Amino acid sequence: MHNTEFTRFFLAAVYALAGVFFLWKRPSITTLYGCSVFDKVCVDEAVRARLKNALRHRIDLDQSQPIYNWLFVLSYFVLAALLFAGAVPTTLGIAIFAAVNGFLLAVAYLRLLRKPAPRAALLTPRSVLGGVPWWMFAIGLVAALSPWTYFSGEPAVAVVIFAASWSLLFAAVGMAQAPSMITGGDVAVERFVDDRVRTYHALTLLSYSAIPPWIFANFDVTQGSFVRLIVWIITLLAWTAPLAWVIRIFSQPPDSRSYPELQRSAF
Amino acid sequence: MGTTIAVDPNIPLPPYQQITEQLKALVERGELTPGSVLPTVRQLAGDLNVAPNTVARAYTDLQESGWLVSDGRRGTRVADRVPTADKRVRSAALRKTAEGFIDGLLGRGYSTSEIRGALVDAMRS
Repeated sequence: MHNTEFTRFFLAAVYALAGVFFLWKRPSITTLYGCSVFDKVCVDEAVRARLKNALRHRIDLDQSQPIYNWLFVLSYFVLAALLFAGAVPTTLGIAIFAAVNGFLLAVAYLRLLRKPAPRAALLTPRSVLGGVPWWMFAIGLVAALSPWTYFSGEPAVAVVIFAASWSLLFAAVGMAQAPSMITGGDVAVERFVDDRVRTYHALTLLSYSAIPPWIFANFDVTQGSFVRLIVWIITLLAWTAPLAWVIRIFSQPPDSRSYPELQRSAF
Repeated sequence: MGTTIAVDPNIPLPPYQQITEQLKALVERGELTPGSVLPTVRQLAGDLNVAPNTVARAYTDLQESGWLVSDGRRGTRVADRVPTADKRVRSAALRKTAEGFIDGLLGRGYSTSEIRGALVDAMRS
């Protein structure tokens, strides 16, 4: 299916439209999409107002630089042109696109760690994996290794997808261990926002890391239908589970054991 | 749980000493209680945006003077019996803690006589 002219032109059109979208809307690629929902988890109005303030401040800190947006636009248009002209096979074109996007995302996120900001340090030890369950990283790791199942058939595609997936997985680990970004002004709320944002960034990148291998699990590139089915299930789980976890943690109010100060203020 | 420290580059005191002094002050004021586990050197250095050696030096100094103890794999924690500080410093720290506590109660609408009564009762019990 992937070698047909229709697929090639269809994907060229999709990438051109994506380029136009990024050119027109210019969204920050590290924006905390959906984070605004967690300012609704507290019933107390005063705490909600404090959460909104802390979240607004954090979103400002986490904006990526415009250069990444331009590089995204460029990558979309170049890929659309290459596919349209038939200069690269469709599967390799998608793989290169995934790798470029993965690399850009990973760099943009990792740059957040080096942003100068007024810092205060909490004297509370944090989990090494930043609130992300270890088994989710384990599934992500297996998904990132899955391109080797079609290495013998499509080596170039496998290598490029492998690189894309691993750069994002590396960034996810980096974000899980990211330093806190709190000012010390409203510690109870800032700590809650910081913990959730760290988990959100790590889970988002973990999910992104499994998408390129999953896309290729949909193509007939793997050796044998059983292997293909297993790879498809694992990669699907690897990108959907982190997103489900994001919804789960964002819909929960701050728990009394981890955020006692917030409980005292709220109730 | 929500205790913080910061390093100010404008203060003419080396960063490791700023960390040391703040940790001592927090223990003095009772905001860091004996046995409290502190963050790892790597975590604290990352959060404060300083080199890991800076935090390691502060931790080592405090361990040598008996404020902190290293529990190997369990990390660094506040010593069970911290060194007795200067009497005046202790008294100032106690006063500051008491004032903060009373301010909190006044903010919640209790009168000074109610607070005094409750404190006396608590001391008796």
